[in-house]
Amino acid sequence: MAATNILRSRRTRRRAGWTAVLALLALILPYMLVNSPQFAVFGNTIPLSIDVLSYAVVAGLAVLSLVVLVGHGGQLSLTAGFFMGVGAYLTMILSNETALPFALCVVAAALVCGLLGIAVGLPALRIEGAYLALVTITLASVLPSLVRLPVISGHTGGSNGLSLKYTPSAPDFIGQVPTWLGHLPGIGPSYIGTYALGPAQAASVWIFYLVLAATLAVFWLVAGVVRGRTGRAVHAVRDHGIGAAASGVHVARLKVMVFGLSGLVAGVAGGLYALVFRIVAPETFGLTLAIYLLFGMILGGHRALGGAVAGGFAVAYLPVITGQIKHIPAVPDRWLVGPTASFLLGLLLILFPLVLPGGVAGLGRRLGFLRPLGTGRTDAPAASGGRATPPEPGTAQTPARTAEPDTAPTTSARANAMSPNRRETRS
Amino acid sequence: MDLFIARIFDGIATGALYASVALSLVLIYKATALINFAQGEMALCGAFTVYVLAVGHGVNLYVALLVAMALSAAGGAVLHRVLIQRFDPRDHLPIVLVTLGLLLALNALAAIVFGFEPRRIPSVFPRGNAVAFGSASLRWYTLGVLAVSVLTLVGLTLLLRRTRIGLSFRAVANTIDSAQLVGIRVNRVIGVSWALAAAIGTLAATLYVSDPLRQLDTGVMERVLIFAAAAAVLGGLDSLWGSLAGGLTLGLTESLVIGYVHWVPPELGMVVALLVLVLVLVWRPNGLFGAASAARV
Repeated sequence: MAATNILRSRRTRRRAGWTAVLALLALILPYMLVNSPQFAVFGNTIPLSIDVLSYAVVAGLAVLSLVVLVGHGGQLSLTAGFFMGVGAYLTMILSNETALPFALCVVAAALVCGLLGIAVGLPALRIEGAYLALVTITLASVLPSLVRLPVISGHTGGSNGLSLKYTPSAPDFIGQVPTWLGHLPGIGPSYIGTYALGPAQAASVWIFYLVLAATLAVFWLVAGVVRGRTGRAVHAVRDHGIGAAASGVHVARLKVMVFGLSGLVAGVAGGLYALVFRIVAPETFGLTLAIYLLFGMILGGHRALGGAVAGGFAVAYLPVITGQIKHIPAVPDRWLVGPTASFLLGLLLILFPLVLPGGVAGLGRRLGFLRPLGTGRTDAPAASGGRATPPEPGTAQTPARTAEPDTAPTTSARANAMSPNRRETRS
Repeated sequence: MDLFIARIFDGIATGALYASVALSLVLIYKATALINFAQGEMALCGAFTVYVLAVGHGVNLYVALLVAMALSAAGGAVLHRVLIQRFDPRDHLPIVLVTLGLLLALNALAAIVFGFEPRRIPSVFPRGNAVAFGSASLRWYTLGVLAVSVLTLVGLTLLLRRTRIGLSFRAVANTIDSAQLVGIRVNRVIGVSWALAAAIGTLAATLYVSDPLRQLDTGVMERVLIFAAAAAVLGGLDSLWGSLAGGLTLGLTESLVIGYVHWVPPELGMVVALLVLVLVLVWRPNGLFGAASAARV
């Protein structure tokens, strides 16, 4: 008992430490990136702008929507890009064409996306596994042609896309950079005295904090759902639908609810996307984004809520970085043309499951950094493939936890979880 | 009426091609319950191989097509051996990711090597019309494409029913573990199905772009993949002949809706396909001809 208490306090301290580090980064990073410093490696200059940082947070939210649907709900789908696109378009249209405050537009768009999620979830009740993946890949590539439909292109701008008229006005304190920050790289002249940002830069920083606050709120909401009673029922449905139904869980209602929640979260991400980039174009929300988001989900570990943040950073930064690579040692420059970025990303997608099966969160867990967020302690080891389950408190205090059987052949249990009613008979 | 007949012929031609690509999806699904999302782009690489051989090096078109199909078959088997075989087939997520990565990588590779400008592949079938009905006419292309799709299906059915490798394939498709127990080399059988699927995909993609009305470019296969996936699901993912039914249904629906419902622009055919798909799946969750599912409690 005493050992448990010591451990719990150690774990709490470690979490508090990480929270403090992240909060400090959130305070400093926007000011470091506000002047779009460039980062040079092997003769490539990669711009690091604050917009991409904000987008990383937004993309984390979109990845979270997949974590809820695929990781926890067990519904293998590619829907996040579609709902994100719908959220972005609806938010822009509402904000441009009505007098509603922007936050309300985001909420309204997200609610519509939640309802759409439910609408997608209803037929999905009867469609499972590979069928669902194939149907949703159609959904993922449909939005670019949908917004060009003549009936609605007056609102959506058709092929030209839309731009947001609303600009948030940053409060004064945002533009005041504390003088000690002036010594950090990227911020600008490091003289002692006051250093004030221009209005556009202050707005970018302010947008980052708005996005961050909204994202944290949604994460908190989702964590509440996933870790609570509903979350346990969702896991039961994922792991064994028939068993869950026999235990009195309303399977259909829960599955539809998970789709709705996933749509809602992706809708918020879309609204925030509109705020960050202020422009939406049809091609943004096509198949490629859907694939990136799925990659982000697996990168973060497909059930880890915290891993979604890492996944979001990958979704936002990888295209920026691979898009700017003009020189690779030992590779002729003439090979590095436009599609190279896409090629490198594809290669990464192929290599990633080979090299790092548990995702970044799995790596962190292997090294003992992260508590498996969201899986909670309610999962039986069999349900999470013996990989995502936190060690029992008694065993965790020994260094043996780093030797978790990470490559043990336990994937079949997880695979069953991915498609609960896998067909036993195939002709 | 002429317009109606013309629309029907158009729908049959595209539908038969969707069916052929769907067939290659179904082959791999039957063997392993996996979806190869990279099928379309593998076929794209095959079509580019035909282009390089036939247009670049002046090889006879039919010889080029056969060589490209053989190369694709080898490529498909190698991809399976190197990338897919190492994963547990019951764990869907990593394999979905790998095939989606292949989709991006192969498409980008084609763009790096060949650029974005559209190219023409000479027509595989005689140009012109076989039969004319008033102003509507049945092109040789339509007839040829339909014949190739049906012949592929007949050939595959015979292969599965009458040969030893077909028997092994059916055993693997039924239950992998039992097939292994009776001494079938499961991975080799699955590798053969990847090779067959890749060859069929290359054939279908080449026929698709050899229509004088179409061109070969790197973006052409995304749409085909989506429609083929929809066709495969529609027919039931584990039914070979179902893929033909699904492909023709989608091809005809697309062509008739775009032809007659004027506020639907051509690029929205995909939405129509999605709607048909969802409606059919709600009615029959395993597609039109798929085997009913059963779960052990």
